[in-house]
Amino acid sequence: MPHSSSTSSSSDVRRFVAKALLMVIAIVLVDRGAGAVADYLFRRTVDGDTGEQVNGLLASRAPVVVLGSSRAESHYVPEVLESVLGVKVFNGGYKGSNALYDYGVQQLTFEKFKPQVVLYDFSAVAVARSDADPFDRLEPLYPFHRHPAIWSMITERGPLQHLLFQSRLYPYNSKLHSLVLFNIIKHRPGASQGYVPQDSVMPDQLPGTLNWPESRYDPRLVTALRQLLESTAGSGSRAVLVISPHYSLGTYAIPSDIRMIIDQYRIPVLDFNGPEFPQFLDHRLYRDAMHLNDTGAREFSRELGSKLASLAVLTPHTTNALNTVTSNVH
Amino acid sequence: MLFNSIQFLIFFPLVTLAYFLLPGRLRWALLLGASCYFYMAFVPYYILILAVTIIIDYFAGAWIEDSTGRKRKFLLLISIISTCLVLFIFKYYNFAANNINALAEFLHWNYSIEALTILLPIGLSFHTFQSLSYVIEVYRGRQTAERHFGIYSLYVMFYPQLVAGPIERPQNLLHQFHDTHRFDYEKVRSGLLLMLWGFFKKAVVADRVALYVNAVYGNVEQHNGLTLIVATIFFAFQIYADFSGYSDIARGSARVMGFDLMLNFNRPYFSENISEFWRRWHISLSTWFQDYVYIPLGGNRVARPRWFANLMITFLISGLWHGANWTYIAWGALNGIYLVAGNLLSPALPKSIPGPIKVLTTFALTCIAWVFFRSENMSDALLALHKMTSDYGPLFTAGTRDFIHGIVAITMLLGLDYVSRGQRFEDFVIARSLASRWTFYLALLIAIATMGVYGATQFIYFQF
Repeated sequence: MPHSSSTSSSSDVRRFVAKALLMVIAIVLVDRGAGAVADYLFRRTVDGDTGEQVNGLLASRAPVVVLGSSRAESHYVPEVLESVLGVKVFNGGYKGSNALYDYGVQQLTFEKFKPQVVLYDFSAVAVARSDADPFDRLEPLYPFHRHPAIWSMITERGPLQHLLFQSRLYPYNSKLHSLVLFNIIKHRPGASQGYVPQDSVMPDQLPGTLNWPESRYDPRLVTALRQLLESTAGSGSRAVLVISPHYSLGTYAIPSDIRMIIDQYRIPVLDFNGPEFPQFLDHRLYRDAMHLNDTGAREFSRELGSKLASLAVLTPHTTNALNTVTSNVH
Repeated sequence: MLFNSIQFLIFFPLVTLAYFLLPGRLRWALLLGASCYFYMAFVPYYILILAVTIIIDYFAGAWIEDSTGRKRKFLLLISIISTCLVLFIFKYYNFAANNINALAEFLHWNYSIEALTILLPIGLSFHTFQSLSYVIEVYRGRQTAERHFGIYSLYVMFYPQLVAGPIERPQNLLHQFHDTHRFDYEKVRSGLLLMLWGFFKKAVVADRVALYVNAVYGNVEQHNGLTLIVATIFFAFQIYADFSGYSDIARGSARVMGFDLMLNFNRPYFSENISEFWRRWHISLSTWFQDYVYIPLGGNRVARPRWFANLMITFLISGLWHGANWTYIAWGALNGIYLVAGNLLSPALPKSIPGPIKVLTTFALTCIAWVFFRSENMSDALLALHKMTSDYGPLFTAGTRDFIHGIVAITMLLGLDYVSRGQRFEDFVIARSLASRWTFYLALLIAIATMGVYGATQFIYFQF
């Protein structure tokens, strides 16, 4: 026979329900209050480690925008490109990003302003298959979750994301220390217009062999990259796909989906790997086999700038207008 | 189903509400159904393996109780062998086959055993040990056989502790399924608090420091000694927060429904020696080995060499329980050696060593053992230990975010463990003033929302 192990108490239920309701109210109030503070701090930042750098890009209204992962972040020196192209350049690269993140940033940017040129640094890591959920990389864009393109990507993770985003604080998960820090120091050490220089030099060694077949790409990420290029080119901006240098022989195979878009919109592909660029097989230009150091980045940016100038990707109107701005600044 | 998933946040209140709404006689059925659903959310067909263990030990328990003399012992042996066979096939067969093949190759024998392409069912070691504990206790006459098949199944499958313990004893748990638990405000409150604390440990501490630990231990060759030392210290807190967090959620979710599960961790990193550490770490497993391996071997009531052999055997089996890999065996052996050495050296040690020095020494020894536990293989473990003593350079921080958050999280965990020492954590919190309590609840929630790592990562001990 079952027996009672504790005293029956409907007053216990009433007490619990009352306290639970109070707790829910307290949680909502604290969440709204702390979320509003986080929101305020985030909007005041222009650079940072956890998504704040997007604010800098959106405020830049630069005619030339660079997108991509850590290779973009540390390879494209805006001041060098500006000196060649004569227009403002902003580096929107972000370490650890993938094509989903890049597409999100492109959508946010195009809502704010339409750059003349988007330089997309094509890197295997941005579209590579991995054990991790590629949607994890959208985290830096959570503060922008109200943007339809960002929200649609977030909800692809599952319908229960709606629940998490009921919290006003949740979009700032893992960002609080960065929000406080970058409200004080403003910029990452050495960073300028999104470019983050790398100082160290990799040890002397023979270059490796880069052999990256299409089969190693994640179709979801390839789709995001396709959307990014399609949306850029389709809106009248010029998209340029750049494969910046590696300390390796060989290069990536560009996915066939991306090839189609390249052909359709006549997107230029600038590959700085291979025998035509022997200067980039110098270990002193690299931090590691995948990343140029500051010296290498400046060398590469000069080379890229002259290539872009020869391609005449900028409209004369923009060049002239921004030449004026640039010359005024100087 | 993972505790740290949104599915569980829906599952738990629904099951709990239904539990209190149903009449007492039907509750076992609800809990059994919910437990099956919980388990089948991982890989549905694994439940068949669990069913085999349940059927074997249910009938074994009943037959042992009905039998006398040598037949009882025979039935016990059959039950233990059958239950362990299931564990062996799924957990140790491939390990044994690989080692036999390697030995045959070394001896130039033309012999090989084919490996099985099977996955280890989640939590198999936990429910196997819980089942074994039941038949042994029935055999010893300390527990009557459970004749209600549904309730016996629930004893093995009770969802809060199904996949990672605590490994309960039938004397503590079985009778609770016959009780009709009423809604008890104090139990609900302390249960929810334990769950909150467990979620904090998992999301804010364990999963955060895991990002650093995985980056370092995933590539031991590339990192220097200082980085490996920091990663090992981080891992010590990762595994503690991960496993004790799981136990807290398990105990808390059971307590909300009125069930009391045993304490599994008692601030182990404040231990002053290894023996004390093992009385505070994974208590349900340590006491299982003590009751069913160490004491039956003779414990410490034998000659010294035999006593030390008993300790070594117990810890070697404990290492093997954790995983079919030489790294776990080395981890168990090292802990056995620590205990033997501690017993040999303790009379010679001065009594005046300050407590904090003892705590730090014990922690350092534990960390050395964790190197084996965390490493993918023995060569990685030995390389890591070698680098820790010889190869120093700048500390790898993997981006400041995870590093800073990790340190803050560990400090919070240790601080709360320290201030609440000497009593149960939930009692410590509940004894505070209303304002302090509510501030604490809200602070934990904010920490989980702002510092937690999301993505429903598995708990480390699931693999065992």
